[in-house]
Amino acid sequence: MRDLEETLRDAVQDLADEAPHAFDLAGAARIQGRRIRRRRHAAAGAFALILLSIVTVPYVWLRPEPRTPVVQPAPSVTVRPSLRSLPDFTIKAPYLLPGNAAVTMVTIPTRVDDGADENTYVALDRDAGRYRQLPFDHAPLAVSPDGERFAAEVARNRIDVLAADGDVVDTLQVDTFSSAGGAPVWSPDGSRLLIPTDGGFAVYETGTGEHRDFPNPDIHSLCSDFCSFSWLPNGREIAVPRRDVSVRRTEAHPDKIEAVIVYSADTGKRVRSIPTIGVPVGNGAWSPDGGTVLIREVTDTSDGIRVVDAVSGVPLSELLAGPDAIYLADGRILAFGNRYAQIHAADGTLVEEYRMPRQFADGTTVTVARS
Amino acid sequence: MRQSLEDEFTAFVAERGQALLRIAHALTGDRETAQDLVQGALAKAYARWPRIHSDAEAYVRKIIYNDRASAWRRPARRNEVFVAEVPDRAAERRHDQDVTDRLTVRNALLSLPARQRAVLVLRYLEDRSVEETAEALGCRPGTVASQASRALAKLRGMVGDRITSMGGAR
Repeated sequence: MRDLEETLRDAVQDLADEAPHAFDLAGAARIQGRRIRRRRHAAAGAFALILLSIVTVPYVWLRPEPRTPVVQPAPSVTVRPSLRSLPDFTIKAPYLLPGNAAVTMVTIPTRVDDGADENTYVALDRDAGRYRQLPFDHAPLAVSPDGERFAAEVARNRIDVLAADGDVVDTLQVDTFSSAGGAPVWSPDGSRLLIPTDGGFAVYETGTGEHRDFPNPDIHSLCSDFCSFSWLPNGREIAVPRRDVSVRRTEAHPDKIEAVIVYSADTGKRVRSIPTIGVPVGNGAWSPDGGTVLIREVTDTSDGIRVVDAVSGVPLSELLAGPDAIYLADGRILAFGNRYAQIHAADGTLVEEYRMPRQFADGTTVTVARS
Repeated sequence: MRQSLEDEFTAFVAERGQALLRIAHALTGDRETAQDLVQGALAKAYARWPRIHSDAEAYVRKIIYNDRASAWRRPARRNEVFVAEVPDRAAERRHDQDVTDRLTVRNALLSLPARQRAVLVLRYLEDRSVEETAEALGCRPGTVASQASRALAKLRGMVGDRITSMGGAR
């Protein structure tokens, strides 16, 4: 009597052997492939038309921020600020959100039926004081703080550093960790690029054009399923979430995070650990005084952003809405998505609430930097 | 697209097309569906060829597996083969026991959910490791292991006790 696996192996081989003979696969694929390309270009063109159709809307500066200090409402009274609409987005001038945070890039997903992420990007050209459509569609795309450099994994294990006109400034061969969502991240001053790798992380120096690998198998194996890397404001340390290894992993639930581990980007060594249950929301997650961090908390029962102590990890606020958030220069928090923007006090209290412009339609991602 | 890239695409299809069709046929059990699956994957590869040509086969294989494994999400489940019962072995024209076993397992295999079948094809046709299978399907190694385990358990249930031994996947 044969083993089931042995029989299965033979059965699968039999099925494969019965495959039809290839006949003009290339020709047929070409015709279909060109159709896919046309659809993709049409989608990108449609977005450009949308932008062009709105450039005639006069740019209106946002209302000034309140000059008086924000008064926290009494505990027994719930005061929800009225919702105000922000002016239309235009490519003709930098678009400022409340708190003087600038929209640095608008990402429009381009639907491609091969399931690949592909986007149309409109990025702020700070010198020209207006937005430009980028001539590439790599996803995910990291934009440098000055808006002049971009980085993306353009082929397996190949990261290109690109200029806004599409010129390839540098090409890096690294064993990327992109399968887990580890996209490259520019340092706060734009002098370095953090690249999550299969074996740890790599740091590319724009000044020298060199990159260094920092192997650390724990980073990969202990990272949570929402495995996003970010820089600390000093530009010399990075933060990586670590899952709770005592909890059995299952596809049915998000990983339970037990800490954020801080590593040196100079040596690759572990610097410290912050016991917390979320992932820093990005480079803008750290308060100007370094005392608090904005973490994304994803559990079976909650999905939002919370202020936590940067040392102890103790939660200091209720959950804030919004898929993204940054600390503003004055210590307040801007939480935002493509539909709403909210200003919160440092303790998380909601202060102002705005409706995003209609041009940031569903599916659009807005990248924001504090001024 | 530059002529050199066009030529490269043609050469790639000429060289690897048949191997891709073998995978697709093992996944679908249907010649026409297999051809559609491979052609669709190649079309997507062609549309992105300048970017993916350096790693084209992995890209195309990934699309084939994912397109097939996600087919259940689509409303029309055409080309799925459902076998409510194991075919009557007496009806088989071949009497060799091994061949009968293979046909039985083959029919049972084709009745599995697409994702489980994809896992088994990767593991038993392509001899991919759990990690490689996970990467191809875009899931965790643990998911591959559990899908393979469930698939084998279903096969065992479907083919009955006659084929009994059930070693773990390699």
